Amino acid sequence: MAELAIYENITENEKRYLVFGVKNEKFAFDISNVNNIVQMEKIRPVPCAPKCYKGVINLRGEIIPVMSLHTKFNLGDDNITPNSKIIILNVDEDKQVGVIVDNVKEVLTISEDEIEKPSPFLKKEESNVTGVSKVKDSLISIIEVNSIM
Amino acid sequence: MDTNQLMVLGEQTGTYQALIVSISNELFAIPLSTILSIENVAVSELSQVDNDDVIYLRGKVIPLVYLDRVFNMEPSPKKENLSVVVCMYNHSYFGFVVDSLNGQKEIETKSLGVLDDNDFFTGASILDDEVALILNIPSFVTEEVRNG
Repeated sequence: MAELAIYENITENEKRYLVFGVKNEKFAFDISNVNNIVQMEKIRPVPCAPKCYKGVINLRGEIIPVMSLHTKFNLGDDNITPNSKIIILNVDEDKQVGVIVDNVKEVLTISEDEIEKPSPFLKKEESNVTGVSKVKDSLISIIEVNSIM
Repeated sequence: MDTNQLMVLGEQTGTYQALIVSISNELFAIPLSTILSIENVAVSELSQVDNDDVIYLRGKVIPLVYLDRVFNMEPSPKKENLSVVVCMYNHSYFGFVVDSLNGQKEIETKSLGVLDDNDFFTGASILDDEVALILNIPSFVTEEVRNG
């Protein structure tokens, strides 16, 4: 995995986002929430946990809960391929949560002006998407990390 | 029964002894301080009280807990003999039916992070390469645990 170098923001209203794919759609997290990206590995199921959590993994001696975005976004079952990855996110100051994604694409710098609010007509009752950006002819839905926890 | 056992509620700090068991190919850890005995019981010796399987042990009726059913896991293979780990909490007795016993280990509780509000587990333990979930023994008494 290439090191993600965190530089100073170029301009004040620009942020860097990690773009990834889940079932043919592109999503992005603010990179300041991203701790690590790891290969897909064996997940130990945790009974009686919320349905979107597949279980926990052992990451170098640390127990990290792992969520399926397919389940969280009601996109059906996970489709695990060699490109699947787990993005480890920082949540709640001191906790970490992993999310399973179909692939990790790139880090993009997106300015606030390039982000639109999701259309109120398309918005579902509980949307986790805080903004939509059109970059290079594709739509990227930006997810606020705390909104999926 | 000698009751000089230190009953620790909730999370334990530091390392402690636990019995590692396997149910439906998943590992679980049971703190040794909660275990009274390990019994091998023939299925033909089981009795039923209120439709729940029980065993008679030294004058006590001990209900059996089938974790593969409680946790909606793959059903354990049917056998003629059951391995039962008899536990006690607050004068309540019950027996966990397990597929196999994987020895006794010194373990440390690792938090489940955002999943640590789970009633049934106090945390997890990393054994070699596998993760064992540590059973929260009191939760099996305070909840109405119904099998099947």
